[in-house]
Amino acid sequence: MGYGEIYNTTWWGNAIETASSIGTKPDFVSGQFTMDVRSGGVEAVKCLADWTHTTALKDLNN
Amino acid sequence: MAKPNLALIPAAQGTKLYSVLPSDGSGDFDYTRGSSATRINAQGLIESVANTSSRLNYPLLDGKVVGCPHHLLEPQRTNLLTHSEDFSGYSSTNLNIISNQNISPSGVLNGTFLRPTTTNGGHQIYKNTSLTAGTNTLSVFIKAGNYSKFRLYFYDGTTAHEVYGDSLNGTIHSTNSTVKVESYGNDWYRYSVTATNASTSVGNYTIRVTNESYQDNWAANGVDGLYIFGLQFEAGSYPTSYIKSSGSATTRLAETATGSGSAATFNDSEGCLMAEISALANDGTFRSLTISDGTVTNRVMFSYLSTSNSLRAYIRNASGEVFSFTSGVTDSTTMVKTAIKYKENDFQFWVNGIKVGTDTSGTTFSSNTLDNLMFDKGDGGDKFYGKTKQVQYFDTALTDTQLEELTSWDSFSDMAEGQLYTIE
Repeated sequence: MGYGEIYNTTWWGNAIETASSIGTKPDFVSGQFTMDVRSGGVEAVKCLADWTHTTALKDLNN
Repeated sequence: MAKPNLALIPAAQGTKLYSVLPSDGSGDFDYTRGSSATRINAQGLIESVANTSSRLNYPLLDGKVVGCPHHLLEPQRTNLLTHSEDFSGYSSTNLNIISNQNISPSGVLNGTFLRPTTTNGGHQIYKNTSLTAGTNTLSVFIKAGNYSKFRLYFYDGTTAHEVYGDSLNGTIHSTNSTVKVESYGNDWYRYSVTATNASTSVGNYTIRVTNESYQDNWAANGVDGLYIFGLQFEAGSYPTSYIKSSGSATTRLAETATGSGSAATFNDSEGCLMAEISALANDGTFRSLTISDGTVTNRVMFSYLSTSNSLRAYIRNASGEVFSFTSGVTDSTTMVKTAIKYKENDFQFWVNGIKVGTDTSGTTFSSNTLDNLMFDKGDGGDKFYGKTKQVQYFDTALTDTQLEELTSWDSFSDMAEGQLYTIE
């Protein structure tokens, strides 16, 4: 299963997938998690995951 | 690319505009709107949003949701029509009004069927009204049945401000006003007519079903017709999101979003503010997004100007104006990716991957000055009414390469989708 294919399923699916690919950038992962808690539930899960994934990888490679 | 200190990526709605970074929530915007409102949800349907809740609004292209949502911030508007969905109390001539005959853009079986009779004459639904002089907008959702052509207008005692259109394909046949057509899917189109009307005590709002040649007076077959939903009349130069009314004129109050970040978030000596935004219309007003100290003395600001299709980057500190550059944009209602960079003797303005303005002289801010990111000009004025797809703040002065990447589209298809263009 490649990047992006499970994001629409569950919030946890998204978080696990994102964390596995950008594990050295905990802020990005915890940002998604705490936003989910504060808001009472992230709605656009894939949009947030895609941005997080892309931005964290750029930061990782910086 | 450096990691942003603050990132607003619209993905949740609630009592804040939620920022994914910083992860402690200090980048969240305080959000207010003291009334309910509507949005386009992920299924492309009009949905009511509770009082005080921010809105995730999904873009529609040819009636289908495309891409990620944006936050929608709108000014106060009132639907002056007291019944926007129940047309049973409206007047009619040579026309039957039959409720609940089609799934409306809200996903409910509450579209109303208009069936012209066999009488040779005009076939219309209307509401008599008095009108105050000003610029107003009348809008309605229309879906073709076996008849599709219509005339929509409001009359001010002298002039019918009108559009003749074909709801089969969302086209405009003729008009004497400013007309906007939006596809809402399932063959529904929202038509709006904007015009400046005179004051009158003998005005009306009217929808006529016309014949195939757009003639008002004709004899129908008494069987066929078309569907309508969501009639709205509002003071203003462009249509805003649908305001449901059921018994009285209904107001959607203005929205505000302020208070993101703190002095710890923003670097006073250098940084970059990036935004992906669009305006709701060219409406002759200023609409701003600003990092400031709560005043207009110290600020880093984007503004849509009163001049049409103009976007300005502006920086001012206690010594006065430091940087001001205005860029023309093709269409202010289309998303742009823009960035401002500030550093002593190094100021830049980027729009859609292009460095459009530079200044190599100027100072920045005293320590602990910038402490607040807000959707206004810094002091609550010139509120930003528009669509926001992202806002990022970096506490370093990014390189040209980084700013070009940050304000560019990843691909041609990404650009087309982001700007709601159809690739044929």
